[in-house]
Amino acid sequence: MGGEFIDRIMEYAGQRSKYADVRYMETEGRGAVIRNGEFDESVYANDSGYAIRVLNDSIAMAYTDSEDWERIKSIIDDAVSRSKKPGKNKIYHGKAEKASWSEIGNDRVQDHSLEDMINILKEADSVAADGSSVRISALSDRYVHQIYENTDGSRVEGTYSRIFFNYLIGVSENDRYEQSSEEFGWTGGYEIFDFPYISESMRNDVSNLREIILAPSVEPGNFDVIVGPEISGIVAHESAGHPTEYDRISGREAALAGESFLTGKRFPYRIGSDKVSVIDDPTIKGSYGYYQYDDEGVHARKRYLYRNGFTSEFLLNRESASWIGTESNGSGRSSAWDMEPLARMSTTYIEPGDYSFEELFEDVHRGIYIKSFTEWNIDDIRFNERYVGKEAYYIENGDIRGRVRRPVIETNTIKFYSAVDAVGKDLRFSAGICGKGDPEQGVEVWMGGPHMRLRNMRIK
Amino acid sequence: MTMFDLDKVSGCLEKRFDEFSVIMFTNHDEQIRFSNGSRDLHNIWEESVLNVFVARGKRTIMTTIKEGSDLEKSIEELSKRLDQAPENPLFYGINDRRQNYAISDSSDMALDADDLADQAINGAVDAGSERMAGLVYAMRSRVEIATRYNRGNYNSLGVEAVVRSFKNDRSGQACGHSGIGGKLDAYAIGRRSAEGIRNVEKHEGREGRYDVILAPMAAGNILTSGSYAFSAHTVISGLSYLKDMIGKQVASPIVSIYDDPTDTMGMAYRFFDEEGTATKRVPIIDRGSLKTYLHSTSTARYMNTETTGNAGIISPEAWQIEMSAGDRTLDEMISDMHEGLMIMNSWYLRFQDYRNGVFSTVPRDGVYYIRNGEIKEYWDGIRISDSMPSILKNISALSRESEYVRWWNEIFPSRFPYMIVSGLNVTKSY
Repeated sequence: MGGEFIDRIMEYAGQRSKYADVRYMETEGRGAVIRNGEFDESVYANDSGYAIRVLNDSIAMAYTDSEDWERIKSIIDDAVSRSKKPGKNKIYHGKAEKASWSEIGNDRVQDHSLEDMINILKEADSVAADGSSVRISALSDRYVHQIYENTDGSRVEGTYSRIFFNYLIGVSENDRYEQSSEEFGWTGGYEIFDFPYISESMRNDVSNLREIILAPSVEPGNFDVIVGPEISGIVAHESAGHPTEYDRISGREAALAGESFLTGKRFPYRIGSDKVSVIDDPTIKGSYGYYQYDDEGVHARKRYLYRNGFTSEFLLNRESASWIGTESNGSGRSSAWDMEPLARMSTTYIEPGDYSFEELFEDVHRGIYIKSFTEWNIDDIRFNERYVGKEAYYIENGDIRGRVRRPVIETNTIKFYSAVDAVGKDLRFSAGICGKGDPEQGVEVWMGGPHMRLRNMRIK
Repeated sequence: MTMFDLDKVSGCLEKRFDEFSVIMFTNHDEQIRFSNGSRDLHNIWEESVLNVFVARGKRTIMTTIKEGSDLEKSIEELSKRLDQAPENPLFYGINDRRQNYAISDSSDMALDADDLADQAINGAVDAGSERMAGLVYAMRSRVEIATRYNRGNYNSLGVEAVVRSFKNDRSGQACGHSGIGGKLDAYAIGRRSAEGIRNVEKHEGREGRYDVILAPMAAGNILTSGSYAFSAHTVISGLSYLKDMIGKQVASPIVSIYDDPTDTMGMAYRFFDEEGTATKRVPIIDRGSLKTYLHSTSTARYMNTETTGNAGIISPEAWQIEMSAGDRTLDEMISDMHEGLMIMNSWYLRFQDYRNGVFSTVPRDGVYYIRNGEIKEYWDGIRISDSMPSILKNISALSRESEYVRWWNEIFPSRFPYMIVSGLNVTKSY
């Protein structure tokens, strides 16, 4: 255990800076991997340290895992000295928060042995063993405790745990190969870990891949397209969440995670059909991106990124909020104690509409139903994008017909959102690790949405 | 500033476990991030950490122990967890042969991240950048290893710069890195980021198969992303497109690829791997023929061969990929091209099929259409949609000049020349 110097750090850094904050974070993480039915590796790590931010003529951050005051003092001195060089030096202050929150559940991750984790992995592997040629399953969990303080008088203490399961299954037949990888995550204890859902997904994937591998490709052309929640989720994350991170719009991430097609636009900017709204909400209990206060001590809340086809709100941390003279909306997240907080997503999803699954199909004369995806990517302004279908079918006169193999949507953000004419009432989420920053920070996110219908899309 | 006594740590581990490897990193790193002409943030890291691997029989586990931890208690906890682990069928011990390390000491070299940042910004501005963003790193580490069989240590030093410049609606990006054997010219990297932007008419891209000049950053994005297939662990798992290909022609005869952690001109140099094996220059592909997978002691014993010094004890990996240069200049490549493209950079590479290396990636920072030896158009909206085996086999020319590249999570530390890939498949979004 550590963290005993947090108040002293605050006092020392605060006296030497126009603004200072400090975050102490300790984590304990475990993980294990099973490959093709055999145990592969297990890891155990505990980690802790201080992130100290000082602002004078510019902003500097110092990170140390030391619990030796003289060394901590020395690195603060170094950061203060660096912050007196010219640079950007605005930060949102806001009201002082005094709070503590916890989300560790009843069945605590620390109470589970490595043996428990291996048993879960073996059971998962056995579900997929019959009919697959490659199987990799990994289970990890992480307990986090952190304290944030700043010179405005905030003190926020948070404790949470997250659980992550991912798998990759490959099926080979007659020189053809198909693969599926899926990720699942929750915030809380093991009582929320939904193993039946995971095993059902694995079982379905093996049987689907065995049929997909034999399916014909699509003859390229224009089709009405119905996408499943997995696709609407990745679309929400990639082409609504990322471009509304304000540090991208401002160019701060230009050489790394990229910019945004929204750079230089007047707001609100029309994105597409008024049927579509996209939300980012860290307050959904149990979700993989759940938090009550962000890593800069700002209270979390739901925010509309796109509302009825127009931009609505940006993802802001303390730094980017200050550039446009507004409040941080609690998007400051950091993956570890030794990383800066950046404007990040939490749970990003397309808001459900009022169509039933069946109603979406009713007037599709010639179409493709893409339920899930394999490969995807998007350009650095989050505009030119591609999603390759995994489980996908032809639709004829409103009915699902045979399967198709790897149909490709290659389009842009405006075309995609403009083509949506009906949004389903169902809503489903999947988990992911979202990368940004340098050193790269993978933070836990959920993404999701309902089934949606898009008219006249080019499919390859 | 080291807080651990490695003799004491290894003494504790030796008593309790059959095998162990403990690597201690004591790091002091600095980073400056900048955008729109001024500094955004100065980061300073001071950390010391132990990465520990232990085995009892075929039971294995890895952990990290941080400074200030109760060492005895941490090792007790590790021992308890190890007992809960099943046997690892792929574990065959770590390297028990006495090793000699080719250590170069870098302790006297000066690093100034502030100066590097100024140079990078000035280089971009002097070459006409209207706005730019980027970062520089200056990194120092003390690295020490102890196993039951070997001890080693060295001081490591690395510098890195990445700059992206903008002119109107165009961007150019450049990067570089260096270890103790080289010198990073941050000013030149800044200049290159802006000079790479060519003022030709903008057009939508057109789908098709093209002869494509891949600049070192674009080549780095594709070939380092595909380097998972070199690991024996990936081969054993059934996910490598190079499975059963040792001794066979897997690339064009002009292609030779090495893993070279001994090259101290690059930042990813290292003198031992994670089980204490001395590193060496490993020929992976020699004139198109696959020579070896990358091995730890365990994967080597499983495949009845020798370790290549690439442990990751469970999963070996490449440290610093290098492709041999060729005999062409970039200007010759452009002027000899009847119709094709030059792609300066690429990102967001994703595989739909690891087994066959099928992927797509998004070109950026300059996609130029070439006709009759001249750069005619600037394209956007395109994507490379192809496979690793196909690209390796269709490399038809390599440049004399090569660059040390590393960028974010897109390009691992590596060195590549410009290359021409014939008939590369290009798709587009709109």
